[in-house]
Amino acid sequence: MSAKAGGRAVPSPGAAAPGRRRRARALRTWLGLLPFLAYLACFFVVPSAAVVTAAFENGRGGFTWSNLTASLSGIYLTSYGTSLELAAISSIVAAVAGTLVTIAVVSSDRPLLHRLVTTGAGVMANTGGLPLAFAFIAAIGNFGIVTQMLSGIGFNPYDHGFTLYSFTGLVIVYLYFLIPVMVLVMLPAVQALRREWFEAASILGAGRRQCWRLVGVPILAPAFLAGLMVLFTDAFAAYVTADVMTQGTIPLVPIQIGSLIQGNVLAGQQNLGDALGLGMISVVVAAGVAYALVQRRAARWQR
Amino acid sequence: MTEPAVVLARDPVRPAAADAVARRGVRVEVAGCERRFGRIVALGGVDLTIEPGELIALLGPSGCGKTTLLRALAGLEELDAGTIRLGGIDVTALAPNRRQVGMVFQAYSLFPNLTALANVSFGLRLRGVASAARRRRAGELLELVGLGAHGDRFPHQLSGGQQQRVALARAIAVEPRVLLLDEPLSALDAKVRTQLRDEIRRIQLTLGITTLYVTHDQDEALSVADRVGVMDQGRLQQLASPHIVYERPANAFVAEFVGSVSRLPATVGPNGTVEVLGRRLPLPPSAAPAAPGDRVDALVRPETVAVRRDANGLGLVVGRAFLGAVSRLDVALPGEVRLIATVTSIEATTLGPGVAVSAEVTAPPLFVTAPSSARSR
Repeated sequence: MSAKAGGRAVPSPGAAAPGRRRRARALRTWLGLLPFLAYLACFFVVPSAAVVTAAFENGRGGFTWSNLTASLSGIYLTSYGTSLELAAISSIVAAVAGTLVTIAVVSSDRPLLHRLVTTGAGVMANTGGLPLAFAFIAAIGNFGIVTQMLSGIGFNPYDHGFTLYSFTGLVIVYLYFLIPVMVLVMLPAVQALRREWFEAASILGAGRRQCWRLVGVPILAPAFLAGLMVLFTDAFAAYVTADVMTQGTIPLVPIQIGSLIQGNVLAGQQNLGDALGLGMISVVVAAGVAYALVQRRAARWQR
Repeated sequence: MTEPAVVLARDPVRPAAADAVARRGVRVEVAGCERRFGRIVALGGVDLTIEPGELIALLGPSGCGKTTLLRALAGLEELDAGTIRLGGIDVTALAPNRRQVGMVFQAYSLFPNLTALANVSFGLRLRGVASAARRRRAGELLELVGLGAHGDRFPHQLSGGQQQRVALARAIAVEPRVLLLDEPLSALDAKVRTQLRDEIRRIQLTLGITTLYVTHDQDEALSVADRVGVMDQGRLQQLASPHIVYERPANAFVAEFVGSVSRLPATVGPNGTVEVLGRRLPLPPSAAPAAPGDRVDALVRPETVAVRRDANGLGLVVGRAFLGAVSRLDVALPGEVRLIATVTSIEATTLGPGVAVSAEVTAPPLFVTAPSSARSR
């Protein structure tokens, strides 16, 4: 606000007040965010920067490409391939299964089932590592309870080529926590689907499949892709479960990094571990960029 | 690629092919339709015939079955009994996508991921209409509903009224045999509602589509419909032209539901008369059988009541609502009787709350019925 006096614009006493209030509000917002930003800096930015820097250092602190070159060859390259394959298969299967479960639960219109699934998914999504590996070994390991029961009725899966300590076994174990994560991610999106959209499509001439293909799937796609990316990165970075289950028999990037940092195989190879870590960060960033591109397109029609 | 036979012309007011389209309205015959949800009877044997090109408004309180009937016509609700014929063809067992009807929902039915143009051309796409042809036709229909410049907008970029216009264009794009409107204006503000109501009627008359319009808003029903059907408890109480429904209701429910009425204590007199507020008037033609001397309630419209300032009058004005040219008075009479009267706003200036008045009924009551505790609404 300003007042004119003698032909000159003179700021009124309250003129600066709105600006000051805005700045104060902005400052308070940033102050509120400060603990989170500090946490992010300490446990994400600084470690990531350290990993990236160390990936290009030799044992004496000098610059080198050799860590990166080594991390993209031999067993490490194989590990990337296996990790990507494991993450892709388990995340795609979990994303599809989780979405179908969510649609089934929401369309069942049973509040009790809805609450049970939501609570169960919350618990299962946060179960991982050693307890999860142990649970599966106890259930369907060589001498697990379920294996024994199946043997009792004349079907021992281990006699038919199945083993929990394999790539397939890992996928099965990963699905245990990935499917619930997908359910939690998809629940709001599926609940937001309006019956009127499907009815309108149907009246306009769409069959059941066309309703889903032309209406349901495109509307759910952004949430599905977001969930898929979360699952992919979860599966790609999972370490303890895979380590306990496979004892290093399946080459996976997190296990290789663990071995290198702990010096289990070769001492003094921590920088190679950092180079592998840089590779993992790159994969996650690439997934994030891909998602952002899809999301930007979807943002045109989302509020 | 097949294309619908009728091609809409570019004139948004009256497409060149509109006359041809106008002849396409079909007769809708609903016979003995029943639908129950558990113990609740949503439709208790409804019979209804809509003539080709006619617009019927279904009016009724919430839960009366009007939306169930509309959804049954669309194929979205299965019937327990009865048949539905569109243009002489029994469609009772047909899926919604094979009935060739168009429907506008209450709100939020546009596909959020599609632009207005893509929404309108959705049905044409399903029918295999070539891309260029369907874009052209969708553009023409958007022009028809006054949104020619909004084709590239997504639903969230449109106002509620604009969204409903797009929904209307989408519904008629597939050249339906019957247009079903499920309270299409209920989510809109009053001004937009009036505008769009008139637009819907104009377009319906232009295209000549047989239309069923469900609403709980009596003004909407009375102003757009050729005939109004009043429903209650799963049954059609009356189906007639708007002025018949208003002036000669088939029963007390219709009389009380459509418009305002006062229930006044009355006594049946000799020679087909009834005495209301001390005045002897003809018994209404639709009255239930009543013998002279019977005490009844007379249902009286506010506009048939004359109220005068009178220091010795038995009435007391307890409320006054300004409605523009006229005002509505709420008058308390002895015996906890409430009377609603309409007077000009000029007269109303001297008839504020607390003023003693006398009242007189100036026209035959709408209906007489057994005495009730609920005297007016």
